[in-house]
Amino acid sequence: MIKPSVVLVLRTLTVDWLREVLMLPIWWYTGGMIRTLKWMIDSIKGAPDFFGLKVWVKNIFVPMYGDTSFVGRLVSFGVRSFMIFVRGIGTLFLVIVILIATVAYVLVLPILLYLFITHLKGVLV
Amino acid sequence: MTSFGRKIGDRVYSWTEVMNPVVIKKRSAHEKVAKFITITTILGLSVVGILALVLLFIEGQGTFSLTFWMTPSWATVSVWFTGLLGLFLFYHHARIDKGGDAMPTGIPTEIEEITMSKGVKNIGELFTHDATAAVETAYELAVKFGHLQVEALHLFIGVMDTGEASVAFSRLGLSFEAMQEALGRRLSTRELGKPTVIGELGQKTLLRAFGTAVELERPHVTSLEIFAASFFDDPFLGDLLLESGVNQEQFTNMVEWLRIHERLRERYDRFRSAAANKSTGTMNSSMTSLATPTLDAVSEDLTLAAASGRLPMLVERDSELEELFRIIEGGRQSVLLVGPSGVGKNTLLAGVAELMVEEKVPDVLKDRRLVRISVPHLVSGTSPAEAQERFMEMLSEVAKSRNIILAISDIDQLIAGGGAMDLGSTLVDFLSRSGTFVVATTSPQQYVAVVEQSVLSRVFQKIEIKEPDNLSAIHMLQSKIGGIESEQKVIFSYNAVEKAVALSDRYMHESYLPKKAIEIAQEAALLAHKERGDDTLVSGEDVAAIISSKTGIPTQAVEEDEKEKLLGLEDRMHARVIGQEEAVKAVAAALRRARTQLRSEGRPIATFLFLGSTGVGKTELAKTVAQTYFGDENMMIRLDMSEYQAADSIDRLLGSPSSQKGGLLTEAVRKTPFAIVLLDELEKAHPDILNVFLQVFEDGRLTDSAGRTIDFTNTIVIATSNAGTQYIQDAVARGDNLESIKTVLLEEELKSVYRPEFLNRFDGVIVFTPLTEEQVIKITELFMAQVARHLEPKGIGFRADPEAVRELGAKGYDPKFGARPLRRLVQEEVDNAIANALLEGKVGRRDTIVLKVGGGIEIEKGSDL
Repeated sequence: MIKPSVVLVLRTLTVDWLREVLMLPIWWYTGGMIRTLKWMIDSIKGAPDFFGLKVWVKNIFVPMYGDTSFVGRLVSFGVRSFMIFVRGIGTLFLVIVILIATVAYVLVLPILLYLFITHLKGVLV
Repeated sequence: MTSFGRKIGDRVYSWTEVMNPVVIKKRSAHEKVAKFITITTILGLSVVGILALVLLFIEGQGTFSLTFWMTPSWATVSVWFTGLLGLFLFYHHARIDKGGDAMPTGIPTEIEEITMSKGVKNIGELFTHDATAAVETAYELAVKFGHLQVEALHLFIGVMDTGEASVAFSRLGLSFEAMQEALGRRLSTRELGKPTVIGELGQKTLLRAFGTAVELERPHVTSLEIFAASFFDDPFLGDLLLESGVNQEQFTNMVEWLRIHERLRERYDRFRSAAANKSTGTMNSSMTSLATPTLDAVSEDLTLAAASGRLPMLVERDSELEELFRIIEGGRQSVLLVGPSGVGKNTLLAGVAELMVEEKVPDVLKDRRLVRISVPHLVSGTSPAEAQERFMEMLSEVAKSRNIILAISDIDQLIAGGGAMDLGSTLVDFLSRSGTFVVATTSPQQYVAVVEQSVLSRVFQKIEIKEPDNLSAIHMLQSKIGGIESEQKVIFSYNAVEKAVALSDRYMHESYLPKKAIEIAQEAALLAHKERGDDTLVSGEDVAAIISSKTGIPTQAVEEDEKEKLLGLEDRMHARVIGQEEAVKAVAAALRRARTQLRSEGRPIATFLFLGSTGVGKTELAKTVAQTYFGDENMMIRLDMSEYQAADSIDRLLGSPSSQKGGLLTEAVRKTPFAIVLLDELEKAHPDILNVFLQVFEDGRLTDSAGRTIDFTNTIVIATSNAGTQYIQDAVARGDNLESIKTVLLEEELKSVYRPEFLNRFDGVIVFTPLTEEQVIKITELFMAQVARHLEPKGIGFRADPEAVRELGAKGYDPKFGARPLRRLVQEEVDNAIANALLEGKVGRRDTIVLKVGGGIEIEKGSDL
């Protein structure tokens, strides 16, 4: 087995660690940003499915529990409209949460950095 | 250096990973450092996080005000730092995560020479850590030996360290130590040179591994694929494993086993997430369905069972599944799976249910439940009218609820009762009106006997589910081994798996693959665990022992190294058959030829025609063959052909067309496929019956009246015949040699009895010569030994004076009837005298009866206790 020497490992440790720390902000707004946006798009796309919205819209005129009488159909239509409304709100809520999370991703690094540095200064000085 | 690559779509893939000691060292250092950073960050995060919590806790109520968070304090500093460490960990993990590089999909082209350009994609990035490590080990090995390039051989050795290869080795019963020497010798013959590179050969092997991974839609290139690719790229490795008793097919099956294992694991992970989204109640996700109490009482929800992972995995039935979906998608037609019991019809239903859970099915099956009704439940304890009513109620529930696909196992039961209990027409009526469909199963016999003639045949499309071949059955069994192993706490060798399939296929003709092989494997595991405890290896011998206890075929016959048995065949036969040197020699030679695989597979092991007068040892030799070859002289199916003199007696052999029962011959061979078929006095059979045997000799099989194919390939067929006896006796008396006697027999004497093409089908036509007086005396000795054996359990000894034997032999000798009169004589003179002595109470335990000249017996009193 070719094994790296201790010196090589220590040197790599210093270089890698420093590089990672310095690269963090750049990656955050390039590679990381792309990942986050992809996640956002996928999640928003999946939100209606999460609440089964499409199936409910598709079946809006189908009577529930196989009750095909007029009253049954009427009640069913009413309940389904209500369910679609509720599920729609749920979907909207989910989308909003996803958007907030994305915005939070953009802001969290500078805010945390700023707070950490100023507070550390405040405590030390 | 020339580079090689494969195209998938427009993209060119090649191995461009840089390999030299410096790079390997660096990569290893980077990996170590990355791990170190992960661990220290997690540690730091935990320490600072706990510190922050403690400080916040001390602060108490104050933490709820905004001013607290805006005012610098050690508590806030530690909170912000915890946050930053968290972000760093997120970033670090994202950077080292290999999952980002997606495997391409499509069919890779052949390996070709390419020119390097920017667009070429490095397949090294798609390798798992294990696989990359294996390539590095291979490279290091080549460097160590000063080889010019890394080849399949290096890669093979490099992979050996990884988990998958070592599992394969232990299951195949191989050890690295045993091969080390040969590998070392082979390594020393490789071309030397510097610097060591991954040249043409190595690149090709890696590209092949990559190609297989793409074709099998694996998420990465694993060390398993390198293992397989390197094995097939270097013929030396094939020879090396063959030396240790593992051939290419076995190796391929072993690799397939590991792939199945990997798939099972992935399936489990993927399935859990898919199942979480499937509605698990009786209701579908849009609540259009209806509660179905009647149906629920007599059925089992397969999709529900699949979602909770209770159903078996479907292996190797892709084409049947495709056909099933095509029929359903095409015209919403009902499907009938027709196959013998045990071939996996219900597993196919399970496979459909599983795909329904994952929603990987045609649209008509999406968001539906697959519900299997149990016909016995439905009809039990009710009058026909009630059953009918219950069935209709159930069907109307299915129609109303609209999300149910019915599965009916053994649909023949619906109509089998006939008359009033016939629910088939109700079902047909329902199916044609409701627009829904059913997936049902039945066996081929029931299909022919019941379904095909009923109304059901109008609405069902038939899909034949055939018994899988041995290779597929091995893969199916392999998918079950994990379960058996964890249940019984044993480990299966590859050999055990292969034997379970091969031996059950050869010797158990009552049931079908893969079920019978699975049952054998289960029992072998149970036995091995009982005998040897936890973590024991289930070997091929364990499996053979189970097979032998189930079929009654002695284990030696299946397992014992047959070489010795075959080489000593003549001696073993002569212990029972006196004289007939030529006959014994010919039979032994034919058996040896047959067993050294010089026979074609589709015929009986051997077929003989024994010619000679009565009492010369024809039947005795047949019994001896049964004893020496099958381990027991009773492994014999004996048919007296004088009972088959009329043309219509063929029905007795094969079963009459009107009944579903097989005939005497076909049933016997079906039950004991590993035996001698002795056809006594063949010349007396009707010529039509001889034609039947013509087929057995040629194809090794017969079809009985029930339509079953009976396999004769594990039988030895021996026909005896008295035809031409007179000629044989005269010729031997004249002193003609045996070869010329045989020629005359075949060309003249037998022509009137058998057709030449019939005689030609025999592996050997063996002429038994009349016995000489000397031989009859020897036979008398055998008879005397037999008498002694019969008296032994009574504690009485028996001895015959040599003169008495000689006298008896001379008296019993008859050139015409051979040793047959002798048997009668022994009965009359010896057995009777002994019986009288026994009845008169003259002999007791420990006494010895002595046969004297003149037929008298004397009793030597034994010593008192």
